Amino acid sequence: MALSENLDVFLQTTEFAVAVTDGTTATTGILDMPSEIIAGNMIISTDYALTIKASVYPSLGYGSSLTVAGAAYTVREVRLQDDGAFKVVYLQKV
Amino acid sequence: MAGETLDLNFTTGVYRIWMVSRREQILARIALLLTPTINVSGRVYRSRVEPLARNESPAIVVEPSADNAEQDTLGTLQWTMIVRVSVIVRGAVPDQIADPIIMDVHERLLVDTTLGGYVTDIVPGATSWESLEADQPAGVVSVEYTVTYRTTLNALS
Repeated sequence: MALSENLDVFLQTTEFAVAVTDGTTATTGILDMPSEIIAGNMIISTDYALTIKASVYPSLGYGSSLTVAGAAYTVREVRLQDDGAFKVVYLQKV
Repeated sequence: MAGETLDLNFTTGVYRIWMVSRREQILARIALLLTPTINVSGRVYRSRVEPLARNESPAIVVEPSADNAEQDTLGTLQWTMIVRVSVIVRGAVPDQIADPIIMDVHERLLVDTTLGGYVTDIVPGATSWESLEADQPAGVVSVEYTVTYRTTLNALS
């Protein structure tokens, strides 16, 4: 029997989620931003990763614009997670 | 003055003078010559091992890659050192952003192929490009310069 999940409970702004918009549609997501070292220890970067429901922004891809928690980002890549209910959007800060 | 330090005692105590090898003098000279390079705002580092943050780019890192000696008939050592000059940039097309910096670096190092009398010659060698995904696209362009210089057999200074 398939489970019917309410994905919104994972993305509440009263918990860890923040406001997200593509300029037209508003949603919520969880923004992670760990630092990472790249280029053989020459560069330190921030790996902006936004977790949102896979069903929102279906045409989101490289170069798309998003505003997350009031800050502007462009999309680097989009990856589905696990069973495909959520996706992680990797971002670069404008 | 074959050693790296020279200890002097002038009745009041010991004074230690640190000697610097010709190799280090050359590397310091290159870093100094590159300090006014276009777009880097003086961010020229000698063998920096700490990673550069986004707001520290563009920047230049000067470091030795290899140094080999041969003894010539006059009893001196003829050294051939590879100096790596890495340009670290951020932007949509990293190699394009690095291009004017690489041009300026080349002109600054080749305008006088003795580097002010420190070396017998300097010749540009291999250039490599690395573009990376990051919070803003990043790139590292490395140019290797072959530097030749001489020292006496028993001293590196």
